[in-house]
Amino acid sequence: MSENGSFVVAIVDDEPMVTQSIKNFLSLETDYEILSFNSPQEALETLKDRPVDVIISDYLMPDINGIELLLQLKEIQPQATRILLTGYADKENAIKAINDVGLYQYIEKPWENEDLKLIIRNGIEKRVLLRRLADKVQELDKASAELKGVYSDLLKAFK
Amino acid sequence: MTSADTSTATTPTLMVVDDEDMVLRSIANLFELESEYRVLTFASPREALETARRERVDCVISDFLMPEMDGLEFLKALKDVSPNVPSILLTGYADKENAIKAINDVHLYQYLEKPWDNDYLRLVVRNAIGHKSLEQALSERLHELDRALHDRDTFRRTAEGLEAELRLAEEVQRSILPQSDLTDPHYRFFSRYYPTGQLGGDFYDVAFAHPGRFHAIMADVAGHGAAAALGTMLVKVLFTDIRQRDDGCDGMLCDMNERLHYLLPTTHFVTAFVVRADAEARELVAASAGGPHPILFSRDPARPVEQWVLNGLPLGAFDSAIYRRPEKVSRPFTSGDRILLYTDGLLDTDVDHSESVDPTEIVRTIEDIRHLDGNDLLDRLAESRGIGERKLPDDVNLLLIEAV
Repeated sequence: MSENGSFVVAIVDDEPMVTQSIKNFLSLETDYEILSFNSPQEALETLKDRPVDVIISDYLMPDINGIELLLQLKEIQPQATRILLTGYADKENAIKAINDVGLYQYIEKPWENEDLKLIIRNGIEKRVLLRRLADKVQELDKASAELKGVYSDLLKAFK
Repeated sequence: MTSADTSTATTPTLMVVDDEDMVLRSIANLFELESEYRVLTFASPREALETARRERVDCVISDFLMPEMDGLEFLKALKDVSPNVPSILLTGYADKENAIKAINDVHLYQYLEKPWDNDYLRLVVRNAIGHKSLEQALSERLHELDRALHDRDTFRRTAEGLEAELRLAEEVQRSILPQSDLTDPHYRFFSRYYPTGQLGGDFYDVAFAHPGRFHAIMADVAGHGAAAALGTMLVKVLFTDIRQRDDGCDGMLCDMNERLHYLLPTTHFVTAFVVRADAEARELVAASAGGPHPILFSRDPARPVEQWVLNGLPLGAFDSAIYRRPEKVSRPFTSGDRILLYTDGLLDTDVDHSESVDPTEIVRTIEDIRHLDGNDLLDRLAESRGIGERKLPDDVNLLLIEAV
């Protein structure tokens, strides 16, 4: 989440036309904050210290491909939902990478904007659920620690 | 309707609804072969709704165009029956616009165009079921949290109630120590009580037979807490009762032992040291039930500071114990002579026990301060043991008696 509380989606594609069109569509239709990158290096550099909720990467890019990029980004931001854009020919690679990369979903080019929006929404909901779950687990730990504290104080006084 | 046999509650259930048998069969085959899911297929949306009323469903795949009701109507009705099931809609190309419009109405998880790609469908179903199980886990945690917070608050209230009673018990316990300044024409008394803030087993008392003649006891009921505190009450009552007879100290301890053995729970015992002072005889007589050895000294630097080493069995542990000793149990006690009775808390004044000392250390401290007035002497002694600077592991009781 960004500082103002909106969710952050990062898009990586070497073609500016692709990132621009996704960015335009999502800016119109959602409240998400969109970060777009036209080179994997640029994305790695920025995302080092900029937490995001969803990362969408193209598969075919010069230098490193989308799966390698997502793998590196998984190290940096393991909690972000990862989505791969693939051409029809690369689909097999995407399927193979599902487990390695912890890929949430892949989307075939050309994609339907509504479809993309829905997948991003699901990815964000997953993030929110995981975060709330972690919060609750922590609160639960705290509550049970407090319970134990009260209990042991009592024991000390009355044993 | 075909279904895998009723399986364990942990196996996710996938519901598939399509009026075309071929679609049902191909999806059922896909998941039965390649997943752990239990698959329920329905050609009739109504029948599917009936089943969803009775059984847990973790994900539903529905066709859009069906004769009985369309996929959106079905999913809407399903929401009423089972609100948290993620739904996937299969649409023909022509119905896609309708599906998109309905995304928010039925909170569609995702839609897939026919013909679908099996790999993709599998991925979408996996995500949908993952989503459902996250929601499930979250709601379980929320319940647990509610319960834990409720328990904690109940416990806290109980603890507060008990705490209040504890404070009251502490007051009562404190009230059994000699209240007003003890006065006698022949002796002066100085005392200090440093509590740990918890109930303890320390106790001392002074009881006069008549001016110039009294018994003093310094006792420690083994253990801490309520049991030890109640034990001190018992010792107080017995001490007050028995000293009426004004026997020697050993007889008194014998008597107390017998009664405490009868009254105390078997695992409990009391250590004590008793002295009797007599102004006419100008002497102290003592008996020990395993309490710390008192320290005898005088303002007169010519007299040594020494422990009064006298041993004996603790009270209440054995049914008959003898406290008469072969050694001499009386000491001269004349003007300027002093005796310090204390509980073993004085030797061990910090919680990690890193400051534990031997009684000879106390003897050395007193050698330096023996000339001081009684109150100053006790304060300096407490200070030398770090009392007041840190949390005590045990109560400390001090009683200094001086012959005028």
